[in-house]
Amino acid sequence: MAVQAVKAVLGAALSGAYIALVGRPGALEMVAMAGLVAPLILTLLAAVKAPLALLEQASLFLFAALIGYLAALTGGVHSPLLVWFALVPAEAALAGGRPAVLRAAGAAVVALIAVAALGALSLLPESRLALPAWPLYAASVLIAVVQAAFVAAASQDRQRASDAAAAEGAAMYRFLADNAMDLITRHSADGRIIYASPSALPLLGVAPESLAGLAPSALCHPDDLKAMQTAFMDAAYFGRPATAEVRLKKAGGAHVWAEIRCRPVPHADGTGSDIVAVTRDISERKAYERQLIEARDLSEEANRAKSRFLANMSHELRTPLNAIIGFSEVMMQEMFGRLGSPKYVEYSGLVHESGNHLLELINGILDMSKIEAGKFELSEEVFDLSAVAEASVRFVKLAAERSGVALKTAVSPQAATIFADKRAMKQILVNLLSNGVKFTPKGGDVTIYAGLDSKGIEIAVVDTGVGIPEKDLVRLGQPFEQVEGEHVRKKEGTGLGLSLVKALAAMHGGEAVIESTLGVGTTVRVRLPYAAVGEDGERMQPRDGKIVPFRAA
Amino acid sequence: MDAKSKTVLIVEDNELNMKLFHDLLDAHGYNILQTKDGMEALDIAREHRPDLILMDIQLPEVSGLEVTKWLKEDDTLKAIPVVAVTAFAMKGDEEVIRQGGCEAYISKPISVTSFLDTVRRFIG
Repeated sequence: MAVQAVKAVLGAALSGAYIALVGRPGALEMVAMAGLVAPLILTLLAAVKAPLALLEQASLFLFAALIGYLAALTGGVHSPLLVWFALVPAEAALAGGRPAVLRAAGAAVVALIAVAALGALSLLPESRLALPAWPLYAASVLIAVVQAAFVAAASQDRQRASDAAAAEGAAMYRFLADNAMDLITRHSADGRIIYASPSALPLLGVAPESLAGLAPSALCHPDDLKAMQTAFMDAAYFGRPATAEVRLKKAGGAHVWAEIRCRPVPHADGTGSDIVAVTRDISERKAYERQLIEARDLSEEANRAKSRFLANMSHELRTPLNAIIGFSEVMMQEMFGRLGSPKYVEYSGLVHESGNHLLELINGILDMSKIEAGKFELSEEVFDLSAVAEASVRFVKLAAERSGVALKTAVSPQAATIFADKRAMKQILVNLLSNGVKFTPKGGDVTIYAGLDSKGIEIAVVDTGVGIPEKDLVRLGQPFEQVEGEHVRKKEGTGLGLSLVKALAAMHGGEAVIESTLGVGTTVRVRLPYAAVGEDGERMQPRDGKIVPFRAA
Repeated sequence: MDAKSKTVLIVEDNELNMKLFHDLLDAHGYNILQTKDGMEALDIAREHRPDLILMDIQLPEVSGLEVTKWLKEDDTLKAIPVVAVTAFAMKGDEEVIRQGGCEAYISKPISVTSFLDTVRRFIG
């Protein structure tokens, strides 16, 4: 921009000299002089618009054309202004690179030839110079020399500035390379090292100079060679940045996990690319990743072991239960003749009942495991809840009679038929009833209520038992958690019952809530928002979306 | 009893369960062959051609599924129905057992009534 300003000033000086020597300029000469001052306009244009190189180029062409025009007006090949043509490429040197200089010189030559051709064809007007020739030549050369001196000085300044910038850049680059924790390397397109930064020593234990000329195969673990070569290939031949995680050989034969980020560095002459790679020690991260993978494998193995154990336990428990339940059933039926005392019939019934109770427990444990593993599937249907409630009552009737607890059911007509998993509902009711019986003293009672409200079906099992302290309520419903306290410690049970109830209710899109008052009793409400069935036998509130598998906390 | 002529081969390695199945079938008039060994089961089947085979799946040497496979590969034996009686009751077990060639599946512990119903379904 400064160059353009200098040129504009020079143009103005030249115009002034022309007016002094030739006299008042004609219309064409006015145009020419305006052209000489044009760089000023260009300077202004450049201040607001982007393609500076284009403007410079245009200004140089204009400069050559004007000199030719003025030369044509002042004697053609004899004009004292011809020496000015030499300044066109000189200015170009200041403005741009070698191609700009060549183009400017070309423009000057073309203009010179045009002036000479017009002269040879006698098409030029007579010279309008008023003074004798020699002072004119002297003045013209003087001005040209002054401008040439300007150009040379500016060019020198520019060179110096560029050298200084280059030196500063190189120093900064070396500073970065020398002090970076990461290893910085430059590779030829085939991956061989051209330069390695001093970080080679801490990272690989070798002097950076000793790496020069080494190929990737000499640098990394054989198993990782492909990854490294692929990354280099991406950078060198496809011109895109690439990353590889590889094990690099250290001095002494060990390997270090490293991440190599590489990108292409195109050659200045456009004949392909080198590769610059930044290599970082990631052994800590890799060690951490390995630990995570090991931990995951371990946990998966533990989970498989748990599944195997459950399958085996189920098998081993069912085998003797088969004999217990089977033989007691044969005895109850008196298949081979009468047992004699009715007591024996009762006892065989008790054996059979206990066997079935044990079977229920085993099934409960398996169900809980399946629910926790997300493998439990509901099979929902419309069925008679009153009948299931009665069946559940029969199931715990013997136990209730033994402890002197009355069992009642109060199922409202709107809740007599519901849509749910029948087996799950029976499991919920049996678990809640037997819990109620277990914790209710003699003379108390346990009641199943079922009704319909705006939130859907609610089934409540209410006992008049010992109750549960508030601080223990929150812990209930975790598998194998039974409230510990003097008043309940003697009770049998795994704590599985309530967690199964919660899980099964949740699988139905509902919930199970416990309320309890010490000494008054406990109520467990099971809310089933999607279980209500209308008079037409259709579900009143169909459930949208997928069932979210329940996971016990 | 009307089933007198029918013969059932019980393959079962647990003595108590063998006794239970034996006594139940005996009480209902079936002839009974028994073994706790899968290989022997194959020999007995060839020699006596039972009308039904009750097959425990977990056996000491070869699994009941393996024995069933051999039975079904033998043209002279494959018409004999094989009912698996097993304590494998996990989800998916029944499917595996049916794919193994068994005609029916009874899980342990059995219900006496449905056990006898299943046997009757095959050999009256």
